[in-house]
Amino acid sequence: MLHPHLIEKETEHTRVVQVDQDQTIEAHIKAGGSYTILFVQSGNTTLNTRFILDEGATLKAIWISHHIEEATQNIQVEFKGEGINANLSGIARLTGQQKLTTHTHLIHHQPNTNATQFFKRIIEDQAVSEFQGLVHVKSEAQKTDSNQFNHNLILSDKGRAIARPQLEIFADDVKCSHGATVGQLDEEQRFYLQSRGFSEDQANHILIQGFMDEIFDIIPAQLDPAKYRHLLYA
Amino acid sequence: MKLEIKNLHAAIDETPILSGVNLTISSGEVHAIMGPNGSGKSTLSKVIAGHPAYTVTEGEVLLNGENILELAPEERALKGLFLAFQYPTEIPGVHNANFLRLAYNAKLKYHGKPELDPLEFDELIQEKLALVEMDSDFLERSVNHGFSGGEKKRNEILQMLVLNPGFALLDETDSGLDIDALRIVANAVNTFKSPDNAILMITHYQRLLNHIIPDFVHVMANGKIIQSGDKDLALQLEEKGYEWLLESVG
Repeated sequence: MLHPHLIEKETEHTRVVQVDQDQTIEAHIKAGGSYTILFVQSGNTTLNTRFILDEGATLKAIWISHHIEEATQNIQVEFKGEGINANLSGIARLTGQQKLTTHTHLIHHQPNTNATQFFKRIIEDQAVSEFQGLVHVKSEAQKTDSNQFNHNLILSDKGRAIARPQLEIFADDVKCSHGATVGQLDEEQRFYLQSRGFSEDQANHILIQGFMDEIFDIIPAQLDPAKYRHLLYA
Repeated sequence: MKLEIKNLHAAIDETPILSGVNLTISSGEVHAIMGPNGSGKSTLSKVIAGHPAYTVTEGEVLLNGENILELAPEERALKGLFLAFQYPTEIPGVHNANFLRLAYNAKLKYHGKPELDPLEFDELIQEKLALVEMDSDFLERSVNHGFSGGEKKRNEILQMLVLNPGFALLDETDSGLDIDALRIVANAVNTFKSPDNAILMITHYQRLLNHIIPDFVHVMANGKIIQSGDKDLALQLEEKGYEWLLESVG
C-alpha cells in the first residue's frame, strides 16, 4: 500500500512521473496548496491516480502517453473543500494497434469548485482511444463549474475513438458541460495554410502539431515542454 | 506582375457560380469589385487562390502568362499570389510568430534565398506589426484563435506585409472593421501598394474606396462582370444601389 503524497498547506510542488510499469499514485493537497504533476506514460501499463483536494487547493495534472501498447489511465479527483481549481489534461498519439483507455471520475463534494478536463488524442492506423468521463456533483456542491472536453483527431480509416461522457448532478445551481469531437484534419485550415505557401504535407504536419501543442502549451516552462513534444512529434 | 482572368466559369457541387469572368490586372493598379450578395465575388477570390471545393469548368487564370489553375494553392502563393480571407481560419495551437516565420521562410527558400532565423525574423516582424498597430504579444497567440473580427482582418494584412506578394486579393477585408481599424488597415495597404504589385479588393462598401483609391471599379452580378469604370462608378452605386445597373444591362 502506497502512502499518499502530501502537499502541505500553502505550498507549491511540481513533479514529473515516468510511468513504464503499473503504478498507483495518490496525492492529498492541503488547503491552499498547489500541485503541478506531469505523467509520462508508455508501454503496456495501468496508471491509477487519485487526488484529494482541500479548500482552495490548485491542481494542474497532465497525462502524456507515448509508445504505449495497451494502456489505461484511471483518474479520480475528490473536491473536498470550497474554492478548488483543478485542470486535468492529456495528449496521446496512438498508432498501429495501440489502445488507450482513460477513465476520469470527478466528485464535487463542496460548493464553488472549478474543474476543466481537456483530453486530446491523435489516432492513426488501427489504434483505439476510449475516454469515459464521469462528473459527479453532490447536492451540497452548488456553484460547481465543471467542464469536460475530449477531442479526437483520426488520421486513418480504421482508427476508432469512443467517448462516453457522463454527468451525475444532484445540485441545482451548477455549470457542467461536456463536449466530445471525433474528426479528421480540417479542409479549411489546410487550405488556409496552403494559401500561405505550405505544401499539403507541411500543412497537415503543422495542423497535427498544433492539435498537440494546445496541451503541450499547458506544461509549465520550468518542466521543459519541448522535451515532451519530441516524444509525440513524428 | 500581371493577372489575366479569361472567360472563367466555376461551380461548387455542380452549381455554377461564375459564368464567364474577364479581367486583367497589371502591376501598379488597384482594382475593386463590388456587387450584390451572391454575385460570385468571394467565389472568384477562392477560385483564383485554388480552394479545392470549387471546380473550374471553363476559362483560364494567367499569372505572368502562366495558367495557374492547374497549380496547387501553395504553388500559386509561392509565385506571388496572396488572398486575405473574408473569414480568416482559426488554427488553435499554431503559434502566430512561428507560422509567420515558417511561411516567410518557405517563400525565401522557393526563391533560392537564405532563410531567416527567429531573431532576424523578429526584426522584420516588429516593423510590420507597427504598420498594423498591433502589439507583439499578438505574436504569442495561436493563429486567429480567439481573435476579434477586426484582429483577424489585421492579421491578414500583417501576413500580406510579411509575405510581400506581387498580387494581393483582399476579400471583404473592410467588413467587421470599426472606423479606426479601417483607417489602420487602409494605411497599411497604401504603404504596401507599389508600382511592382497589384491589388484587387472585393467589397460591399464604398467607404473602403475613400481610403484606398481604386484605379478601376467593376460590378459583378450573376457570376460575371457587368460594368467597369473608375472610382466614380462606386459613388454612383453608393447613391443609386445596384438595381439601375442590373436593369440597364438586362
